This record gives sequence, structure tokens and C-alpha cells, in this order.
Amino acid sequence: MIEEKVRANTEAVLAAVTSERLAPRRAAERMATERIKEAMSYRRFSAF
Amino acid sequence: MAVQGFGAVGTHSARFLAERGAVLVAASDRRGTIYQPAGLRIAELIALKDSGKTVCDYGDGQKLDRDAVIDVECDIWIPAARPDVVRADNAHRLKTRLVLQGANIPFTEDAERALHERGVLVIPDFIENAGGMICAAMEYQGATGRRPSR
Repeated sequence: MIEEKVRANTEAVLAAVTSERLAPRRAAERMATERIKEAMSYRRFSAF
Repeated sequence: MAVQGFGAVGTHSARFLAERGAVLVAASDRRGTIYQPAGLRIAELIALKDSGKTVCDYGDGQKLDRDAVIDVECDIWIPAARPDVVRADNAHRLKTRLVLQGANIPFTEDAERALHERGVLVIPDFIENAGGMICAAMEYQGATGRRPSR
């Protein structure tokens, strides 16, 4: 499970780095923020 | 590969990558760096650490200062020690192609930027060292040691 998730997240970051020429941290932060926003959309309060 | 910090994250990273063909050429802990370009025997290093010794007690290698691990030429460099070990003032010393951040915030933002401009791929901490967090989330949802996950 851990290997699967870390691998998938790394691949997603590398894909953004390659296709959009982003710095890895920018790509990772964007991915994390998108996921938090999606998770927060299922709640009655929001951090955004 | 070279691993800075031979604790839980460092030892498992080294073992995991060695099983896939990587060769550990340097490892460091609080007391110094051990360097062996022909490859260090990871099980022996782990045994030393488990008995309370330092990586510098390894018999067959060059003993260097703690921070000398930064200068070791390698394909993969793994910071697995503490925050802010690579900064704008020492980022130029890294001679590697790939950094896998095992520690939390091991590099400053300007160091990461400088390495990116040099073409060094630095995979961020919260992507690479999320194993503990994933495990904690699984345990929170009911996973136990009786059904260990990989």
C-alpha cells in the first residue's frame, strides 16, 4: 500500500515536471493543494 | 547512492534501493561519514548501528567528517537526517543527479531552486517520506500489525 501510493505520487510529480517544466516542489505543492481542496469540498466548512 | 543519516529512514532507503541494484558508496551519522566507492555492506552497517556504534566503525572504508557526505559523487543522494542540511551556501557541493528527500525539509527553498537550475532532480520530502503518514492513516482506519502492509 505504502509503496503503491508513494510510487503513484512520485510518478504524478514527475509527469508534471516533464510536461510542464515545473520545479518538482511546485508540482508537488499544486498536487497536494488540489487534493486538499477536493477533500474539503465534501465538508461543511472549508480552509479555502 | 549516498545516504546522510543512517537511522530508520536512511537504513530502509539504502536496503530498499540496494535490493533493486543500487550500490551504497557513502553513509553518515552524527559522528562522521564512511566512504567506500566499491560499495558498503548494508547489513554490516545496520548491525553496527543496532549495537550502538557509528558507521565510522565499519572496517573497510575511508572515514570522513560528518558533512563530507555532501561532497560524495553519486547518482542518488538521500538526505535522511535533519532540516536545512543543504542551503544556498553549500548546494554547489552536491555532485548527484537525483535527490530523494527522506528527512523533513532537508533543503532550503533557494538550494532547491539552484539545483533545479543545474538539472538535478530533487523529489520533495512530503512526496518521498510519506510512508509514516500513510501507515498512520491506515492504522487510524483499523489496520494492525497482524496484517502488515508493505
